[in-house]
Amino acid sequence: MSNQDFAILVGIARYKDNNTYADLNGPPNDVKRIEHWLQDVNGGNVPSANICRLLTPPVLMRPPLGGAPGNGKPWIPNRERFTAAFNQIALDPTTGQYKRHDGRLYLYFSGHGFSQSVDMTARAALFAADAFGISRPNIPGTVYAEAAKRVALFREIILIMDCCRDVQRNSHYGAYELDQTESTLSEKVRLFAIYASAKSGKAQEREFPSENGNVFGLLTHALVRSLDEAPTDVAGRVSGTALNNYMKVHWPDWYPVGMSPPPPRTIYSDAGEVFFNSRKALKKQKFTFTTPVPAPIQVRLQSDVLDATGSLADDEVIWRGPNDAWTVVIPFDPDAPPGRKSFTLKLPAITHTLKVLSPLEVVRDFTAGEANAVEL
Amino acid sequence: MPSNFDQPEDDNRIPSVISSEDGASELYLIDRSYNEIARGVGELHLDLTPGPYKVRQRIGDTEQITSFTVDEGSDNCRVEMTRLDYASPVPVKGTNTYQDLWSIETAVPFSKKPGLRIVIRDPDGTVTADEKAFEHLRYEVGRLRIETLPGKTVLKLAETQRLDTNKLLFFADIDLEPGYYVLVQEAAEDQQLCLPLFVHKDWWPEIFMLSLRDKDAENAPLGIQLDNASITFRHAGAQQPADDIARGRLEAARKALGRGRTISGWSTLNDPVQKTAEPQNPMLALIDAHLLVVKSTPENIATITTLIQSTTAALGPELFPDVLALQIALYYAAAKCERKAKRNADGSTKESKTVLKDPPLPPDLAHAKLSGPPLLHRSWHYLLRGYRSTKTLSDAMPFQFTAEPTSGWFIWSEQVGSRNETCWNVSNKQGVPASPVRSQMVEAAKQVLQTLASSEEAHTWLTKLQKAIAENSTNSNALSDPLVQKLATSLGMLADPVLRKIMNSDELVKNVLHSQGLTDERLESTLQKFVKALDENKLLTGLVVVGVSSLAIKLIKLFMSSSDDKRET
Repeated sequence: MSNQDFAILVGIARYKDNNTYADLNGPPNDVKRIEHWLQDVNGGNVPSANICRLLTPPVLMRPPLGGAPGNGKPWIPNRERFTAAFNQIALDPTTGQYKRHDGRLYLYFSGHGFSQSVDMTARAALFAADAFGISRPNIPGTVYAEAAKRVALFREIILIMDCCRDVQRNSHYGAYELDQTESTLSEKVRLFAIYASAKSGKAQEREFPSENGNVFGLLTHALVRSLDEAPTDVAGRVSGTALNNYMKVHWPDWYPVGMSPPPPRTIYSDAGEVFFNSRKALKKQKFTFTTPVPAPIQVRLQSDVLDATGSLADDEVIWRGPNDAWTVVIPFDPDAPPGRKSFTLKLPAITHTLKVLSPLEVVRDFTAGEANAVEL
Repeated sequence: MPSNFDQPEDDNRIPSVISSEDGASELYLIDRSYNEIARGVGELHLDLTPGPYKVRQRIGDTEQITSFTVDEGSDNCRVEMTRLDYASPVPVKGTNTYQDLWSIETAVPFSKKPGLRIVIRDPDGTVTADEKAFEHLRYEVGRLRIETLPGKTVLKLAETQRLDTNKLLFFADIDLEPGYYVLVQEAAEDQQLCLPLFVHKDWWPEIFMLSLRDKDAENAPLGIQLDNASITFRHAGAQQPADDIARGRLEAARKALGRGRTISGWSTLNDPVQKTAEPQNPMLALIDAHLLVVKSTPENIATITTLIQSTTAALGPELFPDVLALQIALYYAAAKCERKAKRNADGSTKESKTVLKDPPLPPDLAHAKLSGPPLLHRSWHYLLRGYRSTKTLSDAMPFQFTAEPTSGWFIWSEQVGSRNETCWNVSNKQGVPASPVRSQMVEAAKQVLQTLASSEEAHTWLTKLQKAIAENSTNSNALSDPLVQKLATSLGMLADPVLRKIMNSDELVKNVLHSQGLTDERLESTLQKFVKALDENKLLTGLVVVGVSSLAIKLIKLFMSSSDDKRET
């Protein structure tokens, strides 16, 4: 668990202007589902104290028709609440300067949203709960994520916007206060974003009979399912690319009732791949070379869900996917007895084939986890 | 994807070709781990290790997934995917809106003179030609006319009598002198939508549009959306219409551009089907270049430059607006790459910060003269970025208009009659000095906004303004202007408690004004109209209460009563 990881989860189910913004049932369940994944040690593994939830409070879930609630409470979550939550993470309380974290920031939004007509790249904002008539305050998730990258607040930023992206000509992203300078460190910050729809597209929420009739946004539902099901690499991680492709490939099958909306829109980081933990039942599998390993040597690991080639170096094994689609470095175990080299992978409990290529020419079939180690 | 890794010894890779029958689909190859191995357009050539794979094939929002296996020991692997069933205004075989118009298109020989071809069709026309469908098509054709850029009507489409009752098809070749034209569509409430067209001496536009009905709503008629049109350039020497593959590629590229995709490569495909030695379609090159420039890298800058050069070669030495826009985009992208390379070469680990600001354009771009409006919306975005503070855009388009939030073509809306020769006559007057009274009025308006941004009572006044807009937009001329409405709506930010805490009033006002997306000149004229709207709705006097200086109010009223400046900008 890294205390440098943070998350802000925004779920808006009720709006002051319920003529323009229909009541939603998905956001409370969506936030709960994402939060559950974030708190799981095999999921996001984010400390609970570092997760900020901005949800429509129970008192607003059945408000009087239109107008403010009778008890005078404000319509929340609103911009002020979000900005306060963001600044609590982003700013040093004594100096007011940005404070950096060597971890990951999750920004999650579920509710009614829009994109500006002038956007040339994928961007979106959530209407704040107090949007009313032609007053349209909003929480522009993308703008905050871009600002966090621009000043290198975190090492990685994951932005998830489960909302529509209707094009708005007269609404502007309300975040002028964010710093407009760019740090040289921002080039290394990885910003990975998923939007429920393309620009001008609609997000959907649906009732799932298989889940006690609960309503979920389709993006959130598909995302968590993909995180749980997508194949992992040799380190037991799901890459952002694999996550996106898994979701897209299975989308039409998962949501076939009526007209399935187009799948979500994913924007990959230009600073490198991001990886997610998997909640699959993976097994730690040790591999040991019992005799000195002549360098250079290659190994090939294949199964129904994996095809990887490893190149053994002095202290590590560099694993690569087909056509160099991915690279993972697995160090040799430092505690191995002299004359032996071993490394450990996290693999699904299915049959794999390991080939050690020339000069050793060894082939082993094994089921991950069934033996203490595969000895070569 | 180049490999910097020695291939494993047992890596018996099999030469593989994955292609789509339409030659135009976006292709994404995925391995068993759902990692992307390769992506491209139309065809992928690569060596694959034996095993299972999937291909995502996509055009627009239509997608299908094909699974295949590369067999161990095989000599090669070839996978061809069937055509995607998508909607296309230009008739392409295999699309769900296909009609065989080949005989019609070839029966009407291409004119030897420059001009344009317009085809509007109901895709069900050859199947069920019913009265309602015909009435709908006739109504839609009746809304359209061709004008010159200065607003002179060239012809109304309905008067060409080229509407075929039986086939539910409007098909017309219109001879036009080379130059800029506008396809105008009547809209509601004295407004019209305008799609710019360019007739080059060697490249003549063809426009295809669909007249549709909503099958899920009892065939209710759907108005033609200009942004959904398919527009291509036909070469003057073309003997016959472009084939399916060429048309399909253009349509796929247009859809990708409209959806903000970053995949490209339609114009660089070798087409074995192409039977003639016609030059590359410049429209395809423009779209491809725009797709590339969004994610430009040092590696693809050379490709973008080649595409721009080929389009310049096709359309002539005078800078075409979309070419100019791409050159600006390329300049900004190259500057960014250069900054990054300098930082990396420096090797310094010390952090530095840069204010995000576009570098000034080099002289050849800064002083370029725009010959007319661009064709693509993305081009408009770059032109605005480069020339916001200059008169370049207003010299080319010296009339009141509002850029529409389209995804593909550059389309604007305007009030009927607002674009006319007078606009150009006024614009052509060299050295007309800005009226000092007008400048003072603009400064006074900005002072008003800054005071509002710092005033506690501003919220009340702004609420009154929003109410005035909601109630009076149809009564007040000034308030009915979409740009004035947009400005007035965005002024709500001045009362935002978060922004008021963090920003000073000057910065806040600057951000609000900048977010209008207008040139400085248009912004000034919008402020002028805004002030007029305040007066019409008796909101000017209320400003004194919220702390706006009475001097500022006096300056504004002086301008309102002044007869010195009658110039409509």
